[in-house]
Amino acid sequence: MAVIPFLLIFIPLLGGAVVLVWPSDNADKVKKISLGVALTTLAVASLMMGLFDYSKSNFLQMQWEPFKLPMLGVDGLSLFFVLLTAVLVPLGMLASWLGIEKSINRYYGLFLILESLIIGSFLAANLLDFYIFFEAVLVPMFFLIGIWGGKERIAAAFKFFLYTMAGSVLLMVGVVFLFYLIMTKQGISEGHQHVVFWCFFLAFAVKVPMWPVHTWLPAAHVQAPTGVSMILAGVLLKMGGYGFIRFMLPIAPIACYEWRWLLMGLSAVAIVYGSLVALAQTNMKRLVAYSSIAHMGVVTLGMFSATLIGLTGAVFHMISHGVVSAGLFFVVGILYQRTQSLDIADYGGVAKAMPLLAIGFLILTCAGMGVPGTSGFIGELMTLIGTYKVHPIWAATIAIGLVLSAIYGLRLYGNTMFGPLNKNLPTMSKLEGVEKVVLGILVVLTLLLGLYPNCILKTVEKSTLKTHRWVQSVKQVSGE
Amino acid sequence: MIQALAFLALFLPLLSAIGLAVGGKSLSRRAVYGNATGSVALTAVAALVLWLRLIPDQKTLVMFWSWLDVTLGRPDQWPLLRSDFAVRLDALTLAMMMLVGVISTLVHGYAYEYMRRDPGALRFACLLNLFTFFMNLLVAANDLGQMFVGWEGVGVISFLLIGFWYEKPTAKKAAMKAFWVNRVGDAFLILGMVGLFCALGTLSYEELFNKWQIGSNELLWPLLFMVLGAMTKSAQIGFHVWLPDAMEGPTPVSALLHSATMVTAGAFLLIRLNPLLQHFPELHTMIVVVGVLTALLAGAVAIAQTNLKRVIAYSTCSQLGFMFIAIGISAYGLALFHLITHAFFKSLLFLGAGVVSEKCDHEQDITKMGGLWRRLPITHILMLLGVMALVGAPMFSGSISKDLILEAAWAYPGHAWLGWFAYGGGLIAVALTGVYAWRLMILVFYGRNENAGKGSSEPDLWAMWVPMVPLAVGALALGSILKPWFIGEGKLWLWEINFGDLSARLASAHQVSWVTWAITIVVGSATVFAFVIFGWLRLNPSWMQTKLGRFLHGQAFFNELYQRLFVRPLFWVSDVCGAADDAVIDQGGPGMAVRFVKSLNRCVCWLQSGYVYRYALFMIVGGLVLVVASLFWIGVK
Repeated sequence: MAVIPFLLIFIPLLGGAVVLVWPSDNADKVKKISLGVALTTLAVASLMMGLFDYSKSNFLQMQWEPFKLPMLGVDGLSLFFVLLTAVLVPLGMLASWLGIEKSINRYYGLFLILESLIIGSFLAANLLDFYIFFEAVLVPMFFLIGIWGGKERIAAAFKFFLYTMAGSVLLMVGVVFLFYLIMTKQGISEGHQHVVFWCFFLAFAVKVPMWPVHTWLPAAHVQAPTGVSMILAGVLLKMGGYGFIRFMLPIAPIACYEWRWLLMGLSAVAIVYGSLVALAQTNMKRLVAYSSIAHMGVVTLGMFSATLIGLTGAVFHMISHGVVSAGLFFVVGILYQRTQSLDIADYGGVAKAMPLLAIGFLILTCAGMGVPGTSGFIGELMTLIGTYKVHPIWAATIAIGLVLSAIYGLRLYGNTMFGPLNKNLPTMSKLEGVEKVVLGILVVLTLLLGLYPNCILKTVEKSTLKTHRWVQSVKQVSGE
Repeated sequence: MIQALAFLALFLPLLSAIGLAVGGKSLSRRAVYGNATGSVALTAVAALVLWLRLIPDQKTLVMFWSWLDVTLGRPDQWPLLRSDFAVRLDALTLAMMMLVGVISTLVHGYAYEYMRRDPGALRFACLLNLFTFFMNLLVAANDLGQMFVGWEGVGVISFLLIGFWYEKPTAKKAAMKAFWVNRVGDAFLILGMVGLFCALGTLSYEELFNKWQIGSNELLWPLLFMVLGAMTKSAQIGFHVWLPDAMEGPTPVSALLHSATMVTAGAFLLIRLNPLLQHFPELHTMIVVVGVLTALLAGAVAIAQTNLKRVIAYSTCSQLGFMFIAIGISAYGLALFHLITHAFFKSLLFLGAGVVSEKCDHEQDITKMGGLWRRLPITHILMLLGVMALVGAPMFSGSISKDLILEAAWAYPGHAWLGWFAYGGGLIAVALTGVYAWRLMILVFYGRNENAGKGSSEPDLWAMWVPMVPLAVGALALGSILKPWFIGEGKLWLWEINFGDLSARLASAHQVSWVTWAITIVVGSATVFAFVIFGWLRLNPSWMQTKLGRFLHGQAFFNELYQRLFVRPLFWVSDVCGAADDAVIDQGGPGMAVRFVKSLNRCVCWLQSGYVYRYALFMIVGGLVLVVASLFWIGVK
């Protein structure tokens, strides 16, 4: 049992290393081997899901403890993030099937190593482990954007690397500070909590990204290749949100509670501002990137509302957004693959040429707009309830976000899919088999999560309840 | 048995839509539409069977699966966020399901012929089926959660149906506009839902009604939001701007969505929530005022429209206003009654309009028509019946439901002025209805125009008017048939509607004979007026040139106003934010850091230049500084 988390990290790491040094002359073989490794990882992750004891989802299970040190383990919170990663990575690989042509072995090798490190950060059972994985993720991502990206890839890669690195440095300060406190056998007093809070908050806020430290995201997305964009929006951003729930809320609950007005305020700004900026975009990838910022604003708003339902909704919304934003970036990638253009104005009437794409895109757009029946709605509803309890004004910002999301979402959908066929478009070939598979899986997941959210909520709520107890104890102390 | 029937009633159209989407390509158009129409007809039959078995003795609930179930801590604690996919089998749901089923069946049948040359006929059948499914989901809901699924579902499908001819830029724009305006209402609705949940801890109708306690005023805001949401869907004044544009869709869409089903969802929701709503007189006042203003404005605007379908669209707005008046004066049952009768005669008018414009080479401008009664005698008679029901000719179904609403308004006990306002406003709206409806008939069927309708080579359109016959029968007789169900003493309770003192009010209105007579006189004089002005004097072109005519023809300039008030500022703010994101946030934060590092780098580079003379200079300057500083230090000491 305890070997499963270890395997989940080890298999893609080893596979990635093998693929990296594999001779690159046989591209097809490289692709198949890496996909096989990713699928094996997915199988192991599914096995983990099967063996997971759901009645005790609030406890760390399957702990891997070399030298009696808890290194890796999984609970109800990390389980679904690991699964999300394990599902999105093979899909991201398939999405790169047609688009990536240069040094394929290195691309897929780095992709697998990236998967291993992301899974590692979700499975880490202690703070130091988490920090190492959290930081190491930057390296493969840096190369993936910097080598296989668009025209301005180098600048975007550096921006991404330095920006998130600057945040992570503060995370290290926080970790060292905590280590110092524990070594000198001091408790974590309220003053200490504020230090830890600011270190962790800035580190994770860059990753999420929260307003106003978000500008690396659109730059990175526009340059990153489709498959990398899917992982970046789908999983990488969630590491920030995961860090908030896993470490910041339980370790510094008093500071979090005291600063929650600031946190909620920044999140509310992110929702409205992110949506407004998304509305102004002409570049499809930038539009989806800014919509991600707005959606992550909903996540953080729910998380810091200090209500259980808001917290649970935030977790669900992260998983849902992982699927949906990956899907949207994939759709944009499909279009880009055919025309080499990301400008909305270059499209129009694509539904005629690619009806299946139009259907899939519509469902994903609906999920982005939070239409019930798709996964996007559940998280929005729960965070709405959580924030309404704090003050209806917070809920109103989410509602404004819902309206704006419909405006920019349909603007993207309507102007690309509807309207007269743009004469400048090259012939849009129908979807390839690989594309159908990826799009189909993402759409089915979106609908499944939307129609049967209980499959996740039941497990997540036990874990979030555990996190929420800290907040409750703070409330009792401060006499609310 | 009941379980199976309920399942069929709800899910058959969905199954049919999925089946057609997957395997419809190999089928003929006849098979596709046979399948689609059959599935919807079976829905209506299933609802009827359920009605016969259950009503009026019992109501039950059939659960399919639990959608949302969040315990939030200990299972015994509330709040428990819970929502199930279910069918609530009571009279209100079943009546709505039958209505949706019947209208939908006829429209499906009509679409078979209407879409005969359209390559997208299969897609159209699928979408109509899907729409029927979501509408049934909405009316069958047992809690606000499922209701909202249906609510947004019909919104999305209506986006696709209005934009069915998506290559037309106008259709694309109209579809997007409809969804955006509705989205504002949806945001209000979900805020209302969340507010109700936070106040009462449940989404289920039954528990909401039971948990409500007198004196809890915190429900006012959530309910206000719900009313605003309902106003958007039902195209009430201020939120109505999407409905006239939605006529860009194919005519069957207008007949199904924009007259009988989707736009009535708002009124339906308010009827459903009547046990909560009845405790808030403030909201009632607001609803009455909104209803009267909508009925008046839409009726007036309809008089100056030249597009055939747009006239009927504004007529729908106006009639929805009557439903809101009925809700506002707590005559919820009468609102439902008018909803049902209106569904029949308004679909009839839309379907007739479809035939007319087919025959005139897809011309929709009524000023270019005339004399069509000779070329389209059957359509003419069917539409005449529809118009008679619309204007409220005696004994027609529209007049029966509308008269009851106005009588109940006259006898409204709450605020005397409100009852008078509703009655007086309603009377004027009835007069406007008479004028625009007869103007439509005169311009299309009676005026002299030799060229109209000649272009078409269609031999006959019988497959299109066959579905109109049952609707015409409904327009003629449904009011009299159903009247006892809505005002008869013994049957009131079964609608789950609080009728209050409705019977007493109606009785008191009947004692004053002029209350009822006034309506008939108004209808009659409006008819005469319309025939004199538009038929005899032919003042239509000159009327359109007057100031008032131009104002009303421009649809009271709501679109222009909103463009200035909301659309342009929104895009301006968004452009500013978009520019600021680069120029301020990116350049200010990371950009500043980069510039700082770069200039630091330049300084250090200058120092480390490698020239000996520069190092020598530094040594001399540094030595001097040291000497001066030490002297200074000594001096200070």
